[in-house]
Amino acid sequence: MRPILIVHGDKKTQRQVHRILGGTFCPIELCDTVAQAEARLRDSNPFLLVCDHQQMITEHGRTVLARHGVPCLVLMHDPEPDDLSGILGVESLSYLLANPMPLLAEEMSVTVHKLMRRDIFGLEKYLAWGLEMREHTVTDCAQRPEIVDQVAAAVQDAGFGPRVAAAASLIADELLSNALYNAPVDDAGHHFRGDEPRHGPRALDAREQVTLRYACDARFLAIEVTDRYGSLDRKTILRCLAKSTGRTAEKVSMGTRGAGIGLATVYGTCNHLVFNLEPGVRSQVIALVDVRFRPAELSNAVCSFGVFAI
Amino acid sequence: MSAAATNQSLGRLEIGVSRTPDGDVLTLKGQLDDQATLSELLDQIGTHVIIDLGGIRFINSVGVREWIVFLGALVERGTRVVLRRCSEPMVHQMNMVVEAGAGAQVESFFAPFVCSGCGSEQSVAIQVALIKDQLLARTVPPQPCPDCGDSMRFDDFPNRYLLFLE
Repeated sequence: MRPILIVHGDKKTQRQVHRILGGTFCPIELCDTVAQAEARLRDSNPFLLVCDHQQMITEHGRTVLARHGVPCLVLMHDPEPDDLSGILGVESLSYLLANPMPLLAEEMSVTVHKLMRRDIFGLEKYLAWGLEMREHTVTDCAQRPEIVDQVAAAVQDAGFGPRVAAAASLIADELLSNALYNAPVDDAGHHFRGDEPRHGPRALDAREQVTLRYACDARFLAIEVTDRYGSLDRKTILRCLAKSTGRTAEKVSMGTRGAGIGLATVYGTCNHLVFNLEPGVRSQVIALVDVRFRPAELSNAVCSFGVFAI
Repeated sequence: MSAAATNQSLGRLEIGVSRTPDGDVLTLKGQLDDQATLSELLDQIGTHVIIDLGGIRFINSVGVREWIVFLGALVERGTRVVLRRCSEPMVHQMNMVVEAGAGAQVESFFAPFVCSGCGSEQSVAIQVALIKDQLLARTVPPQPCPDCGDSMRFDDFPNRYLLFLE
C-alpha cells in the first residue's frame, strides 16, 4: 500500500495529522521539511502529500511538487485572506484545508478516503448519516430563480437565519448559472451557451439538465450542483478562485454574458468548496456552509477547497 | 421632504427615485441580477445622488457587473454618489470587487451582529462618520440587543468585512 507523506515543521501538528490519517490504515511517513520529503517522494512513492502551506509556497516547495506530481493537500493554520493568493498560484495544488485544528479532522479524513477509493462524487460524504435530501432537476432555464427561492425558503424555515439563507440562495444561483450556461461544450470544446442571456426560458435536453441537491446535518449545509458535460478543469478552477483574494481591479469580465466571478463569489460565501470532476461526463460542485459555528467562532476567514478528478 | 417620487422595476428589483433638497434619492430594493439593467436609470439622475441600498437582499455576479457599470458611468460623468445603508450582500460584493464602491462615498452600511445573551442575529446600520476612526482601525463597537438588551458583538471578521472602507 502506498503511504501518505506528512510534511510539517511542527511536531505537535505532525502527531495530530498522523492520528487523523491513521484511521485510513495507510502507512504514514513524517518529515519536517520539503527537503527531507524529496527523498521520500522518490523512494516511497506516496499517493498523497500533506504539507504545511508555509513550506508549500516556497520556491523549493513548488519545484518539488511540480517535479513529482503527487496530489497535495495543503494545511493552513490561522490563515488570513491575503495568504490565499500565494497558495492559489501553486498550479499543482489540489486540496486546501484552512480550518484550524482540530476542526479539519473530518474533512481531512474524507479527502483522503475519496482519493484512496477513487469514489469522489456526492455531498453525502461530508454529512452525517440519516440526512434528509432535497433534489431538483432543472429541465428549463426559467426554473432557476424559482429553485433558488425554494432553497432559500427551506433554509430559512429550518431556522438557520437570514444570513445562511442568503448564502444558500447566492451559492445555488451561481452554481446553477455556471452549470446551465458555462458547462455545455460542443465537440470542439466551445462553450456554446456562454453568450446567452442569463434569464428567460429554454427547455433543456437530457444532457443539458442540471441537478441540484441540498441537505444539512448538525454541522454543514451542503449544496451540490451537477452538470452532465464535465468541462470544468482544475486550472480554470484555481484561476477563478484566485479572484476571491485581494482587492484588485478588473476581476469582472465586461465583454461576456457571464461576469467571471461566479465561482469566486461562491468560494467567498461558503466554508468549504469541493469540485468533483469526471472530464467529458460530469462536473459536480459542492459548497459547504458551516451552520454549527459562527464565523468568529471558527477563527477562520479562509475557505477550504478540494479539486478531485477521476 | 421629497417630491416627484417615481417607482419602477427592473426584473426583481424595485426602484424608487425621488428629488430632495440634498439631491436625488435612488432607492433599490430586491434582487440585483442580470435583469437589473441599472444603466437605464442614468437619465433620471442629476449631479448628486444618494443611493439607498438597504433593501438589496441578493446580488449575484452578473448583478455586480450591472452595478459597477452603472456606478462607473455616474462617477465618470461627475455625479457625486453617496451610498446609504449598504446591505450585507452589497458589502460582501464591495469587499471582493473594488469597482463596486469606487468613486462613491459610503455614508452607512449594515453589519452582522449576534447577541451574547439570547443569540439573536441582527443586521445593524452603522453610520461611518460617527465611528470612522474605529472602523479604520478595524474594530466595530458592540451594540445593544433589541430583543433582550444584552450586548451584541460584531459577527464577522473585521479584517474581511470592513475592507470596502479602505
